[in-house]
Amino acid sequence: MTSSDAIVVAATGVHKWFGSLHVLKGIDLSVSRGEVVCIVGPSGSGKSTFLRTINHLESINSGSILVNGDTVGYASTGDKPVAKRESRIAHSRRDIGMVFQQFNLFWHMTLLDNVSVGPRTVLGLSKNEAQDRAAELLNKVGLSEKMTSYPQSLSGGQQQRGAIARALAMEPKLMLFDEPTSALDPDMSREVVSVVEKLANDGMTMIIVSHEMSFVRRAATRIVMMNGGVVTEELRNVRVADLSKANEISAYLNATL
Amino acid sequence: MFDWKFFLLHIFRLSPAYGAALLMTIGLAIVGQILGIIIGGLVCMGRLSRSRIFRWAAAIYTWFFRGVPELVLMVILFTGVAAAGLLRFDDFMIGSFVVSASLQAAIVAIGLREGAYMGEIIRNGLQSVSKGQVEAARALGMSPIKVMWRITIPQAMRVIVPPFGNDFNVMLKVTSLASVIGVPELFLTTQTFSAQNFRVFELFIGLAINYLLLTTAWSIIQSLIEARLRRHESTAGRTTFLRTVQAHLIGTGATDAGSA
Repeated sequence: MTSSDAIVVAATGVHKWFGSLHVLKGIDLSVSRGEVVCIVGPSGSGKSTFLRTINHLESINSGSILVNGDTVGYASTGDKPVAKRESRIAHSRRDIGMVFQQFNLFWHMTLLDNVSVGPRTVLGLSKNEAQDRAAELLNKVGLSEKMTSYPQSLSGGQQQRGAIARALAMEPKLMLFDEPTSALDPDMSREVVSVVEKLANDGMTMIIVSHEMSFVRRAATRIVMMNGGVVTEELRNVRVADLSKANEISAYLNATL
Repeated sequence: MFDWKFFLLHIFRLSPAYGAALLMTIGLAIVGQILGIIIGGLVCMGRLSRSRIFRWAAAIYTWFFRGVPELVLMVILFTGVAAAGLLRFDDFMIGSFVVSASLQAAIVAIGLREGAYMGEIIRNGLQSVSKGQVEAARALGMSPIKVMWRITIPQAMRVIVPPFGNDFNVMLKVTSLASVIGVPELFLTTQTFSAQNFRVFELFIGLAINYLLLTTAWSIIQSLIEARLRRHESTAGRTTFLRTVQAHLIGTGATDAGSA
């Protein structure tokens, strides 16, 4: 059922040190197309760091990470990864969208420009094509009237939805979310969760690092628990599974309620 | 006694010599500033370089040219260096305009000093760009050059322009130092003229007014540039030219940025 080209992310034996601190102690993770993987765990467990190694915003010291069969940051999958040049890495990042905890919308551009700058400068679309695509996506996330606004005049929830539209504008095959609602209050979180839920229903492959229970309840197909740099528990088929069977996960999630 | 007739005649009748001096002052400031920006860019690259040698070279350059008075620099470059037999500027022509040795020395002295200051201003501006912005750009798949061009530089400009603007304001006045090596800019021309007719007070009040006009004109231009760079902060609609200039020169009395 899972042929090799339906595997979007294949991480094996990923180790990472920050100086003498061993933050990732051999992570193995395989994500198939259409899956929505929620990575949960306490602070310092390495979950955000691991997420960022997938699109090589962080390097790894050993192991390998293949995204759609491509090593994003490395020229070889041998014993010691040799980092590629940044301009080559940039090329591989087109297929991976990322949404950040602090939104990181470009504050010197309007919302429309934020969403269209990627397609225009990286994918080579014309200004009109890029703006049309941006307008469509902003409509999809409910921000049409804010197209000419600058990020500063938007609420957190609006900024995050805008950031999601910006990532989607690149037509990625994989979306990474790094604590997307952690900087938002409950109302704004709800806006973002419903956008993510819609994406999940449209079949986007997603990896979400989050404390947000709603992601788990409404979008996740798999939950991965990380603690102290390793994966400690996994729960597949979340929609139909019995949460209580996964001791660590349910203990962690119940505690965060 | 202040000779009003002489004063007003002098202010409103631009003699050819004075007009040439005015152009010389403005030209010297602009060319010196451009040279300063180019050198500053190089110094900044040196400061941020991965190589220890470049970092040290840039640091020493900055220390030296911020530590020696501009006047001393000009004299050394014009007379000192030639006297030591190291380097002698020669007059050369651009079309029908003679670029005298003293003018060359003045431009180089101004450029070298300004480069030290611009290096710091540019470096500070580049480092002020938040990491999250750059990461978001990289995550979109932008190459390093695109990130620099589309994100880093536009955002750094916001932090670079105010101190740069102040520097250019100073630059317009620093040109007067070139008088000691004989460049016919405003100060030297006025000084020569006053030696001929002894109207020292009137002429130098006129000179002060002249510099005031130049620096004020630049302040207005600077405030327009700053307003454009800060347009993302404004929640109000378009405002008039005068209101924009007033807001930036005098302030609005509000403590938040959303009222320009």
